[in-house]
Amino acid sequence: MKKLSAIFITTALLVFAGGCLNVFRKTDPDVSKKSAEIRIGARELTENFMFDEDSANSRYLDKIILVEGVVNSIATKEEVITVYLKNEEDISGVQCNFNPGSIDINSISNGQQIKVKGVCSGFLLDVVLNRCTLEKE
Amino acid sequence: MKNNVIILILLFTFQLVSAQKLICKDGHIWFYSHTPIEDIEAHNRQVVAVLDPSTGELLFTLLIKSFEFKKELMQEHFNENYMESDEYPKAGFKGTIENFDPGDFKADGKHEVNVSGELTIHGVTKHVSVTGALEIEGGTIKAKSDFVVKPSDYDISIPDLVKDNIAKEIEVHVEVLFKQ
Repeated sequence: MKKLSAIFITTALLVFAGGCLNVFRKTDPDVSKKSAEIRIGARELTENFMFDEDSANSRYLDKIILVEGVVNSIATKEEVITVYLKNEEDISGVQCNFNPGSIDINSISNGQQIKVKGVCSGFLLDVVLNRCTLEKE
Repeated sequence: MKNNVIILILLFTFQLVSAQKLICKDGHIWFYSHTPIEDIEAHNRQVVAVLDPSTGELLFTLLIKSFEFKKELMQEHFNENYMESDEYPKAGFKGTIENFDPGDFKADGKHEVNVSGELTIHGVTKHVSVTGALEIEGGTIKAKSDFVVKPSDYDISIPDLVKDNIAKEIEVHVEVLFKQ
């Protein structure tokens, strides 16, 4: 009986500790495992922000967005890899920021049509998506 | 409507090009909150900065939601409870470099500068003066500054429960690179 309750208490403690760790040590939520809430083209998303930023903010902020567009440039700086989705003739586009290790930059090239999933942070000169992952067909 | 926006954008672009303003889209601003209980830091590497080397005018703008914390829960609290980033998605600074000579930007060298202007955080705008440094090397201008921001100055209220975990004065660090 004593043995049983010891096992029970240990199990309960372990579950509780696991729960605490989950809540307090959640790091870098894996966007790749979550499904996109919105699917949209890079140009359409950018235009929505350019024409009415307030309403675009309420529609897209913090949402996981799957955006499809043409790679305009790829840049690596410090701890971020930035893939810029923009048509050549457009002024603004979508800035997709990847954490290192979440993308192989050799797998994409300028001019290629790609799909990227990320969390929308808002609009400065471009629409900003963070914690991105590359979507394979 | 569409045409108006396009004209505005063209004018804006033309002005930027004609005035030879320098733009950086990947500036780095990070902050530390140090207390005996806890050290907190967050980094934003998507700061947009504009510098006019002929007048010394300087503009920074950033998205609050682009600050990345080590713990997701902290990032959530920062956005939802303290910064209210759905209501105030951006922070920004508009000011001028006071003690500089446009010729300084043409030759390699380091310059200590004073910058003053309007800092807007959480919808509150305050006049600030800070010191910074410009490092000019091979056609690039690296601008750096370290200063302190008090959350209470910008109506950012910290609940009693966590007030010992968050510093009264937050150390802010700025580093942007302009390519001429």
